[in-house]
Amino acid sequence: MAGYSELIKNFEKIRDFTRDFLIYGFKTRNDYTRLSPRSYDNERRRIESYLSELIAKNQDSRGKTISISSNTTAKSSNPLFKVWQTKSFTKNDCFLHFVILDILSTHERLNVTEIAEIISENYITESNNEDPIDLMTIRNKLNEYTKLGILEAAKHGKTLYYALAPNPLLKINPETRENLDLALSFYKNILPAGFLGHSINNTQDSPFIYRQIFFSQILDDDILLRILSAINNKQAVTATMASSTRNMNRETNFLPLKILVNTKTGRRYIAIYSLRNKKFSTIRLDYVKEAAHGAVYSDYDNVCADYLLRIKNSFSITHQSSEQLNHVKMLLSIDEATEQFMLERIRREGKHGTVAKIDTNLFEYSIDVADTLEMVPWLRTFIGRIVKLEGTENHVISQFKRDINSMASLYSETNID
Amino acid sequence: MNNMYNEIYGLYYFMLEKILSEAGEAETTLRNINNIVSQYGFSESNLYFTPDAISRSGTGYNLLKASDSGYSSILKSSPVKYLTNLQKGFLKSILSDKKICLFLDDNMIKELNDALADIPPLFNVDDILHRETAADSDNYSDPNYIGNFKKILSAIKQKKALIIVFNNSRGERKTMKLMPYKLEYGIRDDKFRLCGVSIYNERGNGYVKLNLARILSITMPNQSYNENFEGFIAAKRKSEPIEIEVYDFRNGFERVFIGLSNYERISSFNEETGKCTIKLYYSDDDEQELLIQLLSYGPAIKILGPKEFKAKFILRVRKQYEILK
Repeated sequence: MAGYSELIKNFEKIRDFTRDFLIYGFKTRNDYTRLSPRSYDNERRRIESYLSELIAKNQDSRGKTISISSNTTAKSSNPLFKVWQTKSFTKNDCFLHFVILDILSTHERLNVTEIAEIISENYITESNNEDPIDLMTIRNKLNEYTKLGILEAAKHGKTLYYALAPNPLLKINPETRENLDLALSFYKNILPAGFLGHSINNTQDSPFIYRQIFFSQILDDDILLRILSAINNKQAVTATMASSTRNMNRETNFLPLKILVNTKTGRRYIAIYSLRNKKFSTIRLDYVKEAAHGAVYSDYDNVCADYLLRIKNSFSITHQSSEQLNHVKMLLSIDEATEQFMLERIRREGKHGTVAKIDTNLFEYSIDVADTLEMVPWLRTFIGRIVKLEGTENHVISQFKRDINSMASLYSETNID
Repeated sequence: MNNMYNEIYGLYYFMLEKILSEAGEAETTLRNINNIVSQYGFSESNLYFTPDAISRSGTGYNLLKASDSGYSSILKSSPVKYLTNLQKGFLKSILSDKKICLFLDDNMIKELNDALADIPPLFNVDDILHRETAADSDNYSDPNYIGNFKKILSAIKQKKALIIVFNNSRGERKTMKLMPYKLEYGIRDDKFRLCGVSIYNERGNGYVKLNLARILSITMPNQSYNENFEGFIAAKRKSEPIEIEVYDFRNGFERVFIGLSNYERISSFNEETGKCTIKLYYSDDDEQELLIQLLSYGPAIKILGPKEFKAKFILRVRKQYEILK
């Protein structure tokens, strides 16, 4: 296929495809109407190549579908790390990477002219002597690596000299290194930018496996790092967002305050303070396409403290936006003799709510929360034992009851005896 | 701020590093290069990477010198081991997590903090708030817990059996001999569980999970094992998947598909009905958790099978319908 290459320049190109193949796994070429068939075929082929051992192909009435197998409970390492290892580069990039580091490993410090001379004297082979690398290209690479922290640059007189930046891991004792590698094999899967941990120690096998892990989250980690950096610097952010229908992008300015990770739904959010309407809100991290840092916000600490007070009474993601909290009261039928685990679960998962015994095998759970609607999925997990449900947000409680009717009607014809 | 998507973390540089290390000491062969590519590369890297790695025409990476007998590195020494600021910052960040004491003692943490003294953490772990978590996460500062964690890791590494005294879920004290397999970390409840195969009459009996926080003591008899865990894990897997129909109202597709994305599954979409079906593969241990997770989706899904699971689900829904009607 002309023009096809295994590596690519822009991660955005495969971010959504990988997510779609992993999460949905039923989309066909025809579902990607904004792409030419050739572009779709190229991206599909790349992902098949990156994650070949996980790819499942199916054929249904709509055409060929690709899915990424996702039995996360059996994996010690996130298989999507490979998608982060696909950045393209030029031949000069690659040549200079290895050669500059090799030269500086045997010289304490060198300037760009000295490095260029050593390259032309010692590293040019018969095959590449016709097209020597110019001084500017070498200088750019040296500056790029200084910015990355691989090299250090210091002026002596008017000349800039470069040296290898010390690698802190080379100094530590072997036992510490061994334990650190073990820690990395764990943290790389659960912390933001875990791919960086993987790049330090990329062993696939480790003594750890995971529950309730959402591997697709790492596709948003570059954006996440930018946001976390802005939080750390108390800086504003201008983000380009995809709308939920993903048909158009829009820009928004905000102060990022915290990252909220919903461990049940698998969604991650940025808790923000909008600089336009001066209100708190949340935005989905996976909808952010780009994030640029803005000015430092002088009142950041006060805004953040205010937000932390408002999130205190949240059941999940939504903060408190008015003085009044919403009350929810649920009467539950629980057999005290055989179902202590149920009471245990309510205490573990019910946040700041309280449980009280009302009668034999009858318990009342009550809570004041910022938003009742986001409690609904959790309340539904008690379906079958909810004797009574009340709340100050009447419309949510009514909808809950209507949904029970809808659920029952889905099975009205089913005989389970 | 530097970008995490950079070729220096890429698989091609990684493979070149491996090849150059090998080709530095003595000449390496095309066969060895192909082995490295097939072990570490993408599935088409032999078509796109290898020709550039070994090119003699000047159009490739120009890092190997070819001779009649093989390839040697143009580098004077083995490729340099370096760390970028992002990598150093990541290391600094993990040192402030509360679980780090499971891996590193105080002296090791100090040693690493000193080595990274001039490096700011990449992020502050406290800026990430996990929501809808359980309230009883494990106590990672408990010396007994830390000791048990280390003993288990050591036994897994050495493939040694363990004798474990623990409290079961009813608070009864039990003793079990076990071949440890892995430590399972639950993100939602912030807990570790020991997974392994229990030993009865000196034979593997069944795949079990024990909450680490419920373990009272561990001893390691000098008994090695070489058990294949896969068979025991497979025995826990349900032969028939749960099949559900998904409806796209109130963003149902997105909620359900992301929520279930950590299970192995096959999905399809019916254009005429606008509904999706998902077949979910699961094990015995997941059944109760899946039942309540599927209940949480309300009328966005319908259970199609298997019969027993469907019956349990419908029973809950009908019971609720009768109470509230």
